[in-house]
Amino acid sequence: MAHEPLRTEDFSGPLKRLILVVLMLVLVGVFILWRIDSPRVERFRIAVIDRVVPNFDWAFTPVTGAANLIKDFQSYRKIYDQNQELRRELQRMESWKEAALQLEQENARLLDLNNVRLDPRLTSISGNVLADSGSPYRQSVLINVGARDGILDGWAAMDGIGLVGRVSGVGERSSRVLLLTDASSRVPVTVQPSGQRGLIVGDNTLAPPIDFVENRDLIRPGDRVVSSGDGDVFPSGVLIGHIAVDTGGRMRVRLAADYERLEFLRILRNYGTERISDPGRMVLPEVLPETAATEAAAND
Amino acid sequence: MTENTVSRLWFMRTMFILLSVGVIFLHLLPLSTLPGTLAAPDIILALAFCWALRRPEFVPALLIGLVMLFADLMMSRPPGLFAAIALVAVEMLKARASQLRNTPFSVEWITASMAIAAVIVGYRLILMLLLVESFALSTALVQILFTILIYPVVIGVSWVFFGLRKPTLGEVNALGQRL
Repeated sequence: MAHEPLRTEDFSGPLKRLILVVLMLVLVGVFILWRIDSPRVERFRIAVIDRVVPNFDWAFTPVTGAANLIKDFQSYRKIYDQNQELRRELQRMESWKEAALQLEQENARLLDLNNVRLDPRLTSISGNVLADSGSPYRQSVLINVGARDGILDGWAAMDGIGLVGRVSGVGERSSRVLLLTDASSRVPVTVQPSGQRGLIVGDNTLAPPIDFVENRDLIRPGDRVVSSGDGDVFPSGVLIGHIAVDTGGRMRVRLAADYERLEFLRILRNYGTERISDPGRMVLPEVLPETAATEAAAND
Repeated sequence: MTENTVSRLWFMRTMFILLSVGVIFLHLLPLSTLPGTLAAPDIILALAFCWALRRPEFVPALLIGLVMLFADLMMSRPPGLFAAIALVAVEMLKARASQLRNTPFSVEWITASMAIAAVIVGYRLILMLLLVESFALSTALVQILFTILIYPVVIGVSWVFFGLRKPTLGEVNALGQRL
């Protein structure tokens, strides 16, 4: 009892405590650094993700495919359990709906094939969705094109039909697309045909509300919502969705893009629009005669 | 059943890393890009608590901290904060693991549940205080509930596949120390 043999714990105890304290300081330090200088830490995050995720590409695709297969099978079973008659009826409806949807998509694709471009300088890069944000609080996806393919931060991402989000964070081989549904997404839009300007404010729901509209009375459910290009963030005229009114009377945008299956995204190359800042030099001389005369008089 | 050798210690530590990476991988699968209030349980947190209460030596602080930081980075959370809070909780649980050894499972479950709720609520509170854009309260509550419910499952899986159980009286580790 008097001579308890020395145990390793007597030495490792303080060491463990030291490691713990240092670790806590590092973790809290990283968080504070992120809070102060978010872009730098986010770049680090993108670099880590860029290093890790594309290596798992081989595993992502089959597992996602298998899971979707099971999901499809379950939905099929659910239909099977229903009344036979109802089921046949339903399937007929489904097929019509599917045909209509496919025609709509085909239409969009044909327009694309015909080079009906929204802007003559607008071209696109297609990317495959690798992973989603992995968190229920963030709505973003990771795609397999990055700085290597010339992607820049802020470019718009579409699926075949409508706007999906914007590129926020570019790695060498991958980049992150912040979806319109994310709580930090804001996109300036125009509502057609009234031409009202507004802002789509993501709130983690599938139908983000439209805000900061000048005159709500001019907007009706079913109106088309396209991006306005304000603030030079997005190209203008990209379809986003249609207006709908929720039960609370709030204007929301039913998104045209199919958020249930985001598999391929098109990133629109957009180098910004040139600004016209000078008066037409062809028509007018650089300094008007009157102003020149008055300036001379003022100098005298 | 299983011997407490050094190789088993490192095997279990490696398994913790592999399981965590597997869970992150599952979270990242682009199965559903629809937003919703349903939040998946935080399995890594449940795993860390479960192992810390049963065999603290399998989940040293350094391991927990680094794995959680990696999860923060991969799952687009503010890096470091969740890891720091979870680490504090794990260390507190480790400190009272020996007291919980002889108690019934319900006590352990309640202790772990309180720790889970404290971590997620504390994380939210700090985010709110620092004016970081935060998420809906309902989502956090659902996540707490699911994580508490998944806790016994994590214990069961750890027991069945890795033979993880509470140390019995007089059990010694590889160096002959009492557990």
